[in-house]
Amino acid sequence: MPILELQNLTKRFGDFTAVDHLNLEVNAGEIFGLLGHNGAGKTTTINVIVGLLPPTEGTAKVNGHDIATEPIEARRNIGLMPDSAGVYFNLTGRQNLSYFGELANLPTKVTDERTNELLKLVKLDDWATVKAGKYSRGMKQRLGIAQSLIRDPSLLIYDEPTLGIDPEGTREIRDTIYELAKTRGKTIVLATHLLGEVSRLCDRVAIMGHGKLLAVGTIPELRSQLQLEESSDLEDIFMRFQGAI
Amino acid sequence: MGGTYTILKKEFLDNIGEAKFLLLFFTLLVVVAASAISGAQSYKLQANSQGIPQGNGTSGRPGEIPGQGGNFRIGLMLNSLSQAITPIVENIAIVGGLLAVTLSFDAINKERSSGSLKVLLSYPIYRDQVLIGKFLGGFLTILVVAFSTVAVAIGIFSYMAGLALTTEILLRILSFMLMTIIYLSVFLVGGLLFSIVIDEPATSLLASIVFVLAGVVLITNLGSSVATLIAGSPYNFVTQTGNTGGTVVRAQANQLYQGIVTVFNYLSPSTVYQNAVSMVMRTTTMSFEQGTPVSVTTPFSQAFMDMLKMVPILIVWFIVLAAGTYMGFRRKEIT
Repeated sequence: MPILELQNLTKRFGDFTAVDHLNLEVNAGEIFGLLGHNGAGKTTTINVIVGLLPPTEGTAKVNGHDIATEPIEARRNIGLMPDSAGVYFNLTGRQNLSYFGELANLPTKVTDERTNELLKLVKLDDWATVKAGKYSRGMKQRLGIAQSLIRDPSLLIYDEPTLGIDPEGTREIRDTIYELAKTRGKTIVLATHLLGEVSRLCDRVAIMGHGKLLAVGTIPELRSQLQLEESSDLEDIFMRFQGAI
Repeated sequence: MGGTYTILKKEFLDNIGEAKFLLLFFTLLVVVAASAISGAQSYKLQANSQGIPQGNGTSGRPGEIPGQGGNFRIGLMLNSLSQAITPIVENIAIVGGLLAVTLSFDAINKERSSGSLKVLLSYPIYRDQVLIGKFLGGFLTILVVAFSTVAVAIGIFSYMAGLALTTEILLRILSFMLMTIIYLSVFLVGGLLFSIVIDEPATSLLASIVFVLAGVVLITNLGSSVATLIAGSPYNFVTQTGNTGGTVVRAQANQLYQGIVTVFNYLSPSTVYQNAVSMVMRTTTMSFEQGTPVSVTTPFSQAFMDMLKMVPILIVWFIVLAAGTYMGFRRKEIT
């Protein structure tokens, strides 16, 4: 059974259709790239999946739970990091994780253990007692990743996790995401417009344009769908699909 | 409920640690203390100049408090107290109102701007829990504010004026605190509403300040203006004596004017709050017996019931704002 299932998912804001009859399935354990230009509908899709926006049409199911009718059950399986990390700047790294652990109703002992483990995982253990407002953007994003893991969900959704981060920070985040999927068996949906990030990390890719799904598959599958040469990269594929709109 | 408590705790700790709150709280304590000092001085002067005699509680003299050991002086002193604390109540009405909206004007939109609202709502909790947690965090802060402000004011006042804190007075002070809590809660929930419907914290702050000014000043001023437009200027009501027809018309106009002003006063949370506190702190009222003014005792139970008559107006304000807040947040699309 797919861990994430979108059926005819549509979101309109007045006359504007941000997501247009999207059909997608994401399988357990894969890193799935949601690729598209700015304004393609990636963030809106994520907002609907998480339940921040009600769908205009269609359904989004997480582990079989419809986000519209079973929001609490669906959200139990989701760990989200929005593009702005979504951590509290007035709290330290440790306080942030403790707060979210408590919010998830975890026993204090479990929260403390996971906090220590996750601060190490994202290499912020030396910064645990420093307020997040003093962190660099990359550090805030890493704390955001730790936050998304505090209640150990099966599906992680990261929206533009490396946006505005220097190459070194980007690599650290990329390595962390890879490790989460490959050693911890997490399913990760990665929304980004950075092609390099997707080609390095993702098992499968969905290309979106103007709210529509243009293509979905592995990079070799997309390449063969377009009958492109082996040497053509994701950028070639992406541009060809975008041109097909 | 766990999620609500977690949010409540964080909100409360954030509130009491924030510079904006501490600044306004300090300002409130200073102005209230200053009002208490000047109020205590005028109270002492008034009490001394009246040369008030002591009663024995069984003489039946107007102004006695039944069952209080008969102190004629107490009734008059408490009425002076009611007048003396008026500046304190006025200051709480405006500075306290500002403090209350400061606690909530950015409760939601600040989190929305930083992205933490998305994370918060991605957890397995209901939106209602977030809203209730945020409100209760602010409410707990208001409890601290109301208790400490009234305690400081009355503490300074009673120390300087030599006022003994009898059970009667303590009950009235507790009622004063209760009214303060209800009044400040109206502005707390008002600020919360603005933090939901307005996306920019700076704009919601401005809207909240306008809301406080409307609640404290604008509504009553608007009442006078509307009454003048409809019934004419009150300065003209007393000029036409000796003309029978003219007097009738002026009396009706005066009645209409007062009616309109009263309606607007009932709409003003600040006026309602000040009237309610004045009612509960007043132990005697003036009435006329055979053309002679007499002071009639108002025991605490009666004063409290009079105060409670004002409470529904603030409750209606609270419910309307809370309903708007609830509906607004439930329907809010987080993008």
